[in-house]
Amino acid sequence: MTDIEQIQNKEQIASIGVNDTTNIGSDPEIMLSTSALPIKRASSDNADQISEDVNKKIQKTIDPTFLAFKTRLLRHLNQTLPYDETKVFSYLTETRQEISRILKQSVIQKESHSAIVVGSRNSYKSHLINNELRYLKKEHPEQFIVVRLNGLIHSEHTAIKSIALQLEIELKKLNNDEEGIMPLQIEHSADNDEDEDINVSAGSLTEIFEKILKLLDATKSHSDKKNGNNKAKVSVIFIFDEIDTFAGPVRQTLLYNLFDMVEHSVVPVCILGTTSKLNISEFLEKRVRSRFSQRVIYVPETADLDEFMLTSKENLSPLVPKPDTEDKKHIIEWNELVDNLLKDESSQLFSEIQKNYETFKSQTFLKNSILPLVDGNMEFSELKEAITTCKSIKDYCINQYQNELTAMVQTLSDLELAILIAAARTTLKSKDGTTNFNIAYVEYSNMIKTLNARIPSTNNLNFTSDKILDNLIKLWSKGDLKNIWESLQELKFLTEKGSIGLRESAQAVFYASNYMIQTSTIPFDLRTFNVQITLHDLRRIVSKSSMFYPWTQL
Amino acid sequence: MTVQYREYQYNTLKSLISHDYSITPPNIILLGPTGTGKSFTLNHVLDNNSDIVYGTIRPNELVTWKSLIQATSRVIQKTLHKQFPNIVCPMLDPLQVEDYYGLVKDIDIVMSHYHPVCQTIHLVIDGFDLLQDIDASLLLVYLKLFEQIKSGHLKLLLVIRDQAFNNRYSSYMIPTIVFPRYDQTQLLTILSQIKYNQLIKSNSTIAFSVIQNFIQLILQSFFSYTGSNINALCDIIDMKWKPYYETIISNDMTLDSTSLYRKTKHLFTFVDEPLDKNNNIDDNDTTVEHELSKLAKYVVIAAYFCSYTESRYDSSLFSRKALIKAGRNPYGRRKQLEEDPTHRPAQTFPLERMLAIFQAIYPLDEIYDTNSGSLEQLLQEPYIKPNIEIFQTIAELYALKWLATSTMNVNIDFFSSKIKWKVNVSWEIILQIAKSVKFDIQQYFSDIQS
Repeated sequence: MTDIEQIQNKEQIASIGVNDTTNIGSDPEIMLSTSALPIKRASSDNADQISEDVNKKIQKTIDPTFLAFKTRLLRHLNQTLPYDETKVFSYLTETRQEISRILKQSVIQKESHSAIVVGSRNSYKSHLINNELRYLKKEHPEQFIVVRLNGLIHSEHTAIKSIALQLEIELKKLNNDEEGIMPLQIEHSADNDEDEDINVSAGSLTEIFEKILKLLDATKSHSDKKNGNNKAKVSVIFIFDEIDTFAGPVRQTLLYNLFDMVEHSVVPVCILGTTSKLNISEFLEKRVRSRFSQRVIYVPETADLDEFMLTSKENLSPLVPKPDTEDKKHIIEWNELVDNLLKDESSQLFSEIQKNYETFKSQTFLKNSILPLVDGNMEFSELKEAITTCKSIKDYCINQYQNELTAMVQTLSDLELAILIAAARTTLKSKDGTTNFNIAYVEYSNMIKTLNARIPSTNNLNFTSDKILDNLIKLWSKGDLKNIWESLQELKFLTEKGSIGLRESAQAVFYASNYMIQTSTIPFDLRTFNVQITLHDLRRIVSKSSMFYPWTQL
Repeated sequence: MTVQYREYQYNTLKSLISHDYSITPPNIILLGPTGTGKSFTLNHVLDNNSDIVYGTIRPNELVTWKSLIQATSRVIQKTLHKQFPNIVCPMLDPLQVEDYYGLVKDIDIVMSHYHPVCQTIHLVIDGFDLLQDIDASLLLVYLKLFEQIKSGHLKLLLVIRDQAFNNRYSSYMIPTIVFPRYDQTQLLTILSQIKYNQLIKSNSTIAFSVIQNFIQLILQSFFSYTGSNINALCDIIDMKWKPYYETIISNDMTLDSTSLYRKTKHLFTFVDEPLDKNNNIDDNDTTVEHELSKLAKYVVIAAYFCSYTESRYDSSLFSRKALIKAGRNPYGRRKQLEEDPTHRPAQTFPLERMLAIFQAIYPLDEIYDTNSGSLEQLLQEPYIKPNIEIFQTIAELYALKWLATSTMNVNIDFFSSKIKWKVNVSWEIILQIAKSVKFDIQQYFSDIQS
């Protein structure tokens, strides 16, 4: 049966499933393949809806409780569960409280604040902030507006544009929610904003800021009319990712104006920056620093193995939901299993996490390796088995190293390996540690000639046959080897001497492209290369049975 | 149904890609050298899951970061429009996207229109590091793009070839799926499957075994040459199959595999790339003229001497009076060097030296033969005089990059004493050139070449 036929059959079954789902539940093959079941996308939404329903029904017949549990677990791992069901890691509790305090002060008490959260990559900086914002959004809706900026994406110039646009959209949303009592005014101010957007390059930054503030005041007055008290004042929360890029060497106008706004604005403003630079306050200019509240929140790392284990446990076990959901039983059982495995020092999971602690010390890495483990299973018992054996985690770790230089040497063909060894030998011999194609080829041909000299000649035995069986190692021509030389370059075993490699910014690339690169005028054979692997390394990697093994030392 | 030898990668990808944004990470990297089945496996996963809306960008077709972000905007719009033609969404001009913020804005607008029908769009960037003007900050922007998009969710599937490029971003801990290179046995299975339907239109098991045997021979002969480059192997197979097939047919398929191999041995001995073929048809190297005049050839040869011999031996190598000198050369004999000097990059030299050597080696005998016997000739030095042609030739050779200078500056004064010159030709080519003017260049190097 061809694939298409199979698909058609499954579609038929799926269409039957609309009326009768019990048929499908009994066929294990279909149950397994539902995730890959290609259902033809109908043009109308209605048909789409039906096919989705079919999908859901089939999935439900697999094991709805397990499916719900699996989705919850995956969401927990990806940190996309709603606020109530998310628990911040216990070692981050203090940091969380601090961030929470600042945000609450500006949203509830309408104070203005600024702070910078400092932590290494993947240290849950944004997660902590987003989590608090989700809480506030739920508890105090329509009390604040979030403006998000990222130093990598926004330049100072576009950041202003972005602030204006985000404010406009958020305010519009806010007013639509409030039954659009004052749509005209907002429309009007939004139009103003549009004008600003167009005239951004014309006006100075302060002017634009004034306009933005006016816009905010308009909202405030509107809200006042509606509620009649100050409570309705809308706070504006700025989230700056990679705030260090705005604290560059040139003037830092944006930060200056924003921090100034914190001090002087009538509207409560909260600025939260995140960065991975520990010395962020040194980046800030004097006048900027004096306006900044000096509140730097350092996100801690896990202190020791015990804490790391505890965090891993929290990472792996979702909170047990209070209402009786279908998957509650599974969650309790799963959490117990994880708890037991982590208590048992001889368990696979424990040793994998210990390995992680000793190398990456990263919950994100753990998460990455756990995701395929969780998703790959169709039954709860399978999942329990998988977490006990941890095969998937081990596979993930093995897979990560399959393209390192060491592993790559083992995938080279014999000729590629011979050339690489020749190149490594010549670099070791040369004074400046470089080689080129000419020299490597001479070394290669010497190697092959010496090897062939050791092989006893069979000419005397075979001279009667019309073609002598060739048992010598083939010496490839210089022209043919250029191919090999280039593929070694592509695999980054060879790098051209003096090449700068990846440039830091788009601007650097632009400048570099304006210069003629001298190396491009050197003939192919004579370009000098550095070898990225030493002969010593090769001796340890190349297997002892290889005929080139003796050549891995001078 | 999985992809052969890529079961792990396939299953992992399947668990990391879903239409439900909340159960998958925002960015995924597929890492592996060329020809390891990255795109194939990824497309297989995406095509087998009809719930996933995805578009593909190929950065090797683009040049700068700006063209990449414009392509991103264009592809997202096109993909969504194609998938949901009923949704009304204003077409935004992708060329208006001038910076990253413009891209974020566009995606936000587009996604907000499609939000009711599609919450998650997957964007495949196939060969991110192949963008010509790639810089280190570009990937960071793309990794953070999802945070800035407020309506809808953007998932990036980045296909990257260069391990070193990926290593720069290892602190971001992006889920990575590595694709190692295929080995010889894996290639045999894969190629037999790919090539079977293309090469022969028959379903018999004999046909399959013939093909498999042929591919096995190709692999045994050329695997060391191609490595695991599957495209190169496919090309070789296509090139060699026809003559091989004809040999089978002409012998009424009676040959056993050993005698068949003997008959077609030439096929498996040489790579036979089309470029080499032309050389073989011609009378080897002598015909390679490089379209240079005789004068130009001697200039190049002189320049080669300057770059590859030491100036202190010039008088003994090029002076005709050297033999008359009594006793030994004050600088001693040239010693055999440890390694062939012609294998190293060229040394620089002043233009004067090249002109002197050129004058010494340029033969004028034929011209002066006509005047032989005249008294005038006794006074005449038998050397070519510097003339405008020589300087024209040098300028021409510089423009053709046979000669180069030590500076990178383009606007230079050729006669400035500060300018150092060097030859830009390798030994093989200079041999051909010398041969074409019957100049025995090898004797000048015979005592120093190892």
